[in-house]
Amino acid sequence: MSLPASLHVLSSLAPLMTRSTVHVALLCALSLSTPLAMGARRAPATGRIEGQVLLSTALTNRRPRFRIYADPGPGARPPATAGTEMRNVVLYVQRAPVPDGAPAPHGSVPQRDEQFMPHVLPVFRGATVEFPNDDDVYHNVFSLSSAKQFDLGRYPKGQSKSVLFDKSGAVQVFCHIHSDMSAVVLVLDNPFFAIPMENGRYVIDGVPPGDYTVVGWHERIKPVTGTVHVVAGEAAKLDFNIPIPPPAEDARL
Amino acid sequence: MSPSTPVRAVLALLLGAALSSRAEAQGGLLFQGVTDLELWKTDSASGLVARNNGHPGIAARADVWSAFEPIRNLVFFAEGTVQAGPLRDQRADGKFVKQAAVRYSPSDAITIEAGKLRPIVGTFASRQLSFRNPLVGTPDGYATSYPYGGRIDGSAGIVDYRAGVVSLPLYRPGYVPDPGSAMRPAVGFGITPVVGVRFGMSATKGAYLNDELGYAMPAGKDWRDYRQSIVAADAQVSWGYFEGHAELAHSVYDIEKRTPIKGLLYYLEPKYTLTPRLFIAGRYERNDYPFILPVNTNFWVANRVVFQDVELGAGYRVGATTLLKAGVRADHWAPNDNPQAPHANGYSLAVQWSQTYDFLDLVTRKQ
Repeated sequence: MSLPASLHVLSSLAPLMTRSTVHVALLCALSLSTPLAMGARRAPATGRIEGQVLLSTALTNRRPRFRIYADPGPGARPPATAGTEMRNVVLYVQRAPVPDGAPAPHGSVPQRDEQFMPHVLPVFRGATVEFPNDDDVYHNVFSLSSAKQFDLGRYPKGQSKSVLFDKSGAVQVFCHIHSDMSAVVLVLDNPFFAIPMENGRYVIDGVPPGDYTVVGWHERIKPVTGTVHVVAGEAAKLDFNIPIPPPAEDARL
Repeated sequence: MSPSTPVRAVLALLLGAALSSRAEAQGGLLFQGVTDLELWKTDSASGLVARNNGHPGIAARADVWSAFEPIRNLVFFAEGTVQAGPLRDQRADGKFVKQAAVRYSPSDAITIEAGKLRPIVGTFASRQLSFRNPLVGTPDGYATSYPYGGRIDGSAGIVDYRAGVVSLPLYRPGYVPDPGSAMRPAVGFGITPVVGVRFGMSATKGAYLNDELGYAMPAGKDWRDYRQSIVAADAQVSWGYFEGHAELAHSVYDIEKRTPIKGLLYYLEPKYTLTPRLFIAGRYERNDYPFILPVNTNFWVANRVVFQDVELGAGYRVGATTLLKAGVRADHWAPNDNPQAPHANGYSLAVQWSQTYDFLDLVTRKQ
């Protein structure tokens, strides 16, 4: 039995979450997957989309975590860490039917080592996302994006505040105190999305049969699209070369 | 070695590193900045807030910095400012290097920097860029001349520290002679008993005159024999949508044939965020500056100039990288006997548009 895409995403984020957060998120994802999974027991009514993502070097240059001015005290120097841009890519299906009775999903974006982790979180519209502070310094999470505006104020380690994302779009999230901290909550119209693994492989499971446009999204590129035909019980292949857009007639590279 | 020599050396290293990183298409390079456009209307008499003889004026400022990390935890960085218009901190050519240094940060407990550095005493430097400063104006006690030297700082648990040897005192142009370069120690420490509350202290002692004042030095004395001592305290409190800062500095200056003259300055600065976009802020400042002018070996002018000023303002975040601020500031000067010191009260109205940039993001965005 294949896993739905949202469960793939949450499982991949598990190392970044606290144990309780993972439990809540997995329970929500499992409940979301129930109608699809029950259908799969009777007959494979859905298919999956899978493929390989290739990034260009333009997106993989490392930036120093550096503040020209920093407040004195704990947290003055952000720790140097090397991230991978592959985990900031999202593949999602456009205009796919939403499963009936899908419960509102949850997500979590902790602030840890003065970073939002993960930097990119795709969620199904209607998701409530927690922003727990795991650092020994204050953070002040806010967004001015048209899809969602909020300012959670300053709160210390151990506290968390949540935001309901009820409108689709890319919501850029920042910290008032640490200007180099940023994240993107990508609010999507359906639960069929995935974040590639470190090696670029991705799987979007539980997709109803049909013809779809799949979008390769990264915050610093124009979305790359490809078309795919999903057949029940089969895997449709679709690779992405980012940020170089594939020719319109030949999306299957 | 002239002070500009190490700056050139650091800039050359930075440039070389940047070029090598481009060749390899790899390495940690950062290139950011903030641009401010300001509209002013002030009175024409105040020594603190008057601009452009009281006529409405426009000023622009660009603050740009770059950092390169050739190996993990070792960063070469430089910051420069270009400005035009009736700004208060108006240098002769409108452009200057604020910082140019190398930073090594093996851990939270130790960070070592050498080059042209931000001040060790006081904390406003960390908030002086328009995107951190909640008001258009800055505290008059904030020293905009950054020294050369070396510093070490870090934090462990609830305690943080900084210490170094720097080339300049803290000073305000016009109140004491422009200082010569003379190395002096500076130290500071802080304690954060709970997250969101920090108390700090800092101190420095060293020469505050310059070598062109030999005509006013008694026989057997050198300009370096006259010292400035500063002890400063600072506090920061934040909770929810409130943020507050306060600083206080007590200074003592050696004066020929007189007891040392003392100064005191402090400010309080609350800020409250009303909505995701809108915040309000204020600052009350009181300065008691020594005014010192060595005239000859027998006579030095040494008075105190006292004034207060208040600024109230509001900020509106147009976007994540764009900030619009407006403010009104008024000052009140105590009467004094020194005809060379300004003592007229005044006001200013100001609007500031700030835009921050990450130049590498601009290059790579939406390819």
